Amino acid sequence: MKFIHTADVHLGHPFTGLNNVPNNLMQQVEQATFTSFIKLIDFALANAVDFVVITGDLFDTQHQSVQVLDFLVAQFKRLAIQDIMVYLSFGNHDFNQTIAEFDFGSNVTLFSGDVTVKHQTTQHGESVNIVGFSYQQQHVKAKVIDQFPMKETVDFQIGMYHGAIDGPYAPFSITDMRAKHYDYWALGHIHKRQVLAQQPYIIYPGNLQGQNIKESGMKGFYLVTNQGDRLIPEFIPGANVIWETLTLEIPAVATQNDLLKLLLPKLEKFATEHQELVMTRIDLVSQFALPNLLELRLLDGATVNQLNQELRVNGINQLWINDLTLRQPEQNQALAGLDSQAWDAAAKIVFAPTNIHNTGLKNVPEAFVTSHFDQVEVQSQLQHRAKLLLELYLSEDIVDEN
Amino acid sequence: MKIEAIKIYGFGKWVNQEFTLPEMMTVFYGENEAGKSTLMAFINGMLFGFASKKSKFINTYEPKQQAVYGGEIQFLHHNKKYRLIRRYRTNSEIELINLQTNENYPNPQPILDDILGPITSETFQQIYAINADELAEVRSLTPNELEQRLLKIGAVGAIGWLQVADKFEKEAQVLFAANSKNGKRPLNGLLNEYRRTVDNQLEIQRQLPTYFASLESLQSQHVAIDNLKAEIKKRQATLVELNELARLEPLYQQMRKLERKQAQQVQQINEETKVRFEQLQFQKTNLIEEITHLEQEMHTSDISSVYGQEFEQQVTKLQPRLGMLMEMAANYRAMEQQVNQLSGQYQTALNKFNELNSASQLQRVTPPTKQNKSVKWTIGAIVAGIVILLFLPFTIIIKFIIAIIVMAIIWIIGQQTSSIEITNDEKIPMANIQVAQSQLLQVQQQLQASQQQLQKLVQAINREQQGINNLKLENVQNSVIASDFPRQLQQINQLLNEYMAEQQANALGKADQVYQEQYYKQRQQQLANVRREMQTVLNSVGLIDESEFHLQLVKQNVDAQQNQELRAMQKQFTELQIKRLASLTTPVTDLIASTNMQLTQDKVQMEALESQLKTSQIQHLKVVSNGTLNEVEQQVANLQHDFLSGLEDFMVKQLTSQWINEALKQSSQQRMPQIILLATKYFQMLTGGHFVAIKMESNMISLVTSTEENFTLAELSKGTSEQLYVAFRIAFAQVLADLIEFPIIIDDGFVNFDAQRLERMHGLMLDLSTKQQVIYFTSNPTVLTDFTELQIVTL
Repeated sequence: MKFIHTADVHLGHPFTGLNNVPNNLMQQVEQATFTSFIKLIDFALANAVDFVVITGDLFDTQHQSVQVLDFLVAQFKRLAIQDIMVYLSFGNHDFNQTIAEFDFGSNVTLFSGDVTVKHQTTQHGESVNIVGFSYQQQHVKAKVIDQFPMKETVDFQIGMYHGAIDGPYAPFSITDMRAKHYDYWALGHIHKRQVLAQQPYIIYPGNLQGQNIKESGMKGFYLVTNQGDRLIPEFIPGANVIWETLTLEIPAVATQNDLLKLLLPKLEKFATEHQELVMTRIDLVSQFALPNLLELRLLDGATVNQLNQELRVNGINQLWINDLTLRQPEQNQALAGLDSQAWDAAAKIVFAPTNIHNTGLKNVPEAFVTSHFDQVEVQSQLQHRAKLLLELYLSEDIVDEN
Repeated sequence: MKIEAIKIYGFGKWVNQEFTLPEMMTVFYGENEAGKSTLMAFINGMLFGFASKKSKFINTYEPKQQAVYGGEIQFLHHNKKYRLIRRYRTNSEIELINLQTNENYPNPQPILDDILGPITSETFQQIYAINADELAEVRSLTPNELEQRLLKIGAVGAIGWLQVADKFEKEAQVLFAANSKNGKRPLNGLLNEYRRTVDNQLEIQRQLPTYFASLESLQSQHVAIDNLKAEIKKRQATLVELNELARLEPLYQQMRKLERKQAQQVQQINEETKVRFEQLQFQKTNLIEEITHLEQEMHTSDISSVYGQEFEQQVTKLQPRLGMLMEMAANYRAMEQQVNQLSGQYQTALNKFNELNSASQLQRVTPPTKQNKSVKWTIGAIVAGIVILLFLPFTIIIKFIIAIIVMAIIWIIGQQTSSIEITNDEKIPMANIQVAQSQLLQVQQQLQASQQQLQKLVQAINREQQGINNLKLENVQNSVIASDFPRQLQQINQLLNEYMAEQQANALGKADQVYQEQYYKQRQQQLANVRREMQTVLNSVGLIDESEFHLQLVKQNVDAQQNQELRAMQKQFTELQIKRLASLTTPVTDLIASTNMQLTQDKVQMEALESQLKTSQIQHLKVVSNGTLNEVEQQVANLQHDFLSGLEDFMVKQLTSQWINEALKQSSQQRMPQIILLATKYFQMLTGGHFVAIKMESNMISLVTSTEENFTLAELSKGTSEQLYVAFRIAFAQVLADLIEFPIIIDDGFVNFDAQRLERMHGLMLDLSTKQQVIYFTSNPTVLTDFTELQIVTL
């Protein structure tokens, strides 16, 4: 028998933190959750698997759309032609009462809120039980694992479990799962790929397509095949867009040009290592303190823009520098002009969350704004940039006639 | 630091110019365009460096005449005299000479930096230079702004910093105004776009029910079309069937007719009955045949016995008389022969007689004629007798008598007539004729006697014949003609012989007859049984007799034939067709017409449904492709990101501005008590003692007059506000003098001061110059009276 295990596809979920991505790449990125899913379906068809197991968060209730549903119906229909079954359970993101009745297709089995056993006989005649449940609300505090029945007299029994070991997402333990004597546990919820156990395999396949820099590295799904009476998973890369953080160390540089010349070859080399579109964050480590202006340009995105332009000019389209973080020795340079005590005292008042709120967020009730500026890193970054701006003003080295 | 001498090589309008500043108070007096500002810029440039940047917005003071850019100043610092020389604006050269040791420092910059300490060109301007522009600006400030500025005046470079802060704030304001609704500012525009996009997103999400509805509608339309397709298919099939039915209908009608006929003729006789009946019939026929045969057999023996009794009586009467009768017959034959012989003789005799008188003699009547005549009369007599016998209404005996009488009369008449004729014939007298005549007469007599005898015999025979005829014997010809008598007798004889033979045979078959009779009775019994059974059968089928039974059978045969025909017909139909045809209440052609009509309607409906489906599909596609949520969501995410980074830029500028302000406030607050102390003194001086105190409570400034009246900043006149600012400004410069002693440079901005206020201002400067060098640039001629000659440098 052969089946595909995936979870957390989050179809249509937008990518966050995209920085000035050009239209052609944006389209690719925008469609990535869909194209990755199509890739999975293609794979399922090409390998004539028996069924596909989707353990929750196939889409987001919040982002549920006509297109997503339409897309799913079309893709499931492709599977139906080859009699490939789909076992679908809702997780904490796609739980939904309104589409509980939605007809995904004749080959799609949607699990209800109760732990249910579904049976299938594979092409090779193995009898398989697939046991699962769907979230009915965002949080499930009960240990749903306790409701799972013991393995029945079938060749294989597979558990579909969307949850986490801790927290309000159907908590479970590996011991709980092992006690059920299943042959495979198809988990979902955690976006990072993890093999929790090997006897039997208890696996988080991770999400199918990373959607921000935190979900970095190759993403994909598992092809699970039986070797005798054991079910053995194999990871299949499936993402169309990869997020990666690239750490680059640079020696002392004086000018913007020097910096670009230093960075570009490294980026080009990095680009050749990937076939997929790589959305990159450069983690720039400078051994020496950078000149103010260089630092400011690194921080305000000017340098990133220049790098992206250079890459495009050099014909590299599969690498996009989305942003850049800078690590350099602490400068701790006191601001000139006024005594440092005054600056420090003032900074404490000005860069306090209350003042930040009063300054720019009072009439912007959107949560994404407040939550962004609530971050301590963002606050300190603001102060850092303000300092750079003052220093720049004081040094006035904007144009150097020499 | 005290500047003692200024020497300009070339700087703006000044070329090779020297000034000395002997006093702590120096007034540069000159008209507008005399070069005051240039001189100020020169002092600044000498101390902190010339402008290295060049732009149309920066005055670099290139010398108007051919001269080396730059110059020198001589100053006293910490009791050491220095000469600072700067040449050239770009790649400028700097020389610093300690005039006491004449040491020309090889690396003068660090020493100069050390002398200048933390003071930069900017801070110098901010702290020590009070210029017209600044005062003009103060005039334009609102009381609140003035207050803010006064509060921050204690910070180094407050004004410059404030300008920077202001610049950043303005830059920030250009980016975003949190409470602005219009989208002119880029960030507001972005926010508006974001909100619009979110609305759009929600709008698209709201499409979901529409999508579901559309999906459902599509599904139901598909179902409707499928149903209609099925219906059309059914109808088409029906039509085919109906066409077939139409073809079959006449045949069916025919069949129905037959069936109806058959239904009417309830089959009464089943096969079993028929077979049984036929068996019975066969038995009956056989029996009857056998019985008939038996009867015949029995009859033949019966006749002899049955007829026998009567016959026997006759025979017994007849038998003894038969000899006599035979004799009579023989007599008759003999008599007849005799008569015939006599007739022949008579004929011959007559012929002879006739030959004799043939020529003259009348034709004579020939005996045959006579005889004929007498026969005729006889016959007539008999006929008459018979007629009388048959027709006269008397008893048989009377009839008999009458008949005999009548016959006798007729016969006698007949005999006489013929005798007369004969007599007439024999009257012919001839010679020879005499002999012949006698012969003839003899013969005639003989003949007559014979004939009489015969006649008597015949009469007797006839009587006998009568009797025989009355016996009515079989095989015996009835006749009253005497000539038939022998034959009759013969026949009777034969009969009698046969009778005798049979009598004998009968005696033999008597035993057999008993058996036969028994057998016959048995058969009869069987026949009766058969007949009874047949009757039972007939009764059972409600028929009266055999002929009806046969009729019925014939009918049934016809029916069977028709049934076969029917079957043959039925074979042309399927069971369903029969059912269908049977259920038809309207003619097939009507049905075909109506089905065709329905089909047409269906097809029209189908077209309508299909076009509706097409429209719905297009609409559905529209719903599906109309601004995909995914795109919009990505837009939202991107806009969020863009807005956040824009807002960060805004924040950085806004916060930088705030930071400056706050830092100034922090910095200022440390020096504020000292500043207020001095400022109060100067303000009192400038207002001629009208105001006696400056109060600062929780960042609010209020002013107290000598009459203890309280004024807020808003309540002050512009002029008084300006005085207050100058007081603060100078107080600040003086407080900072504790940190570093620098000349206070005042550019005449007191254009709004009246003579009194200006005088007080001049007095203040003189007072100030006791502690700190004051360089005053003015175009106001009142200085000429307020200051000494040594203090004034006229430009």
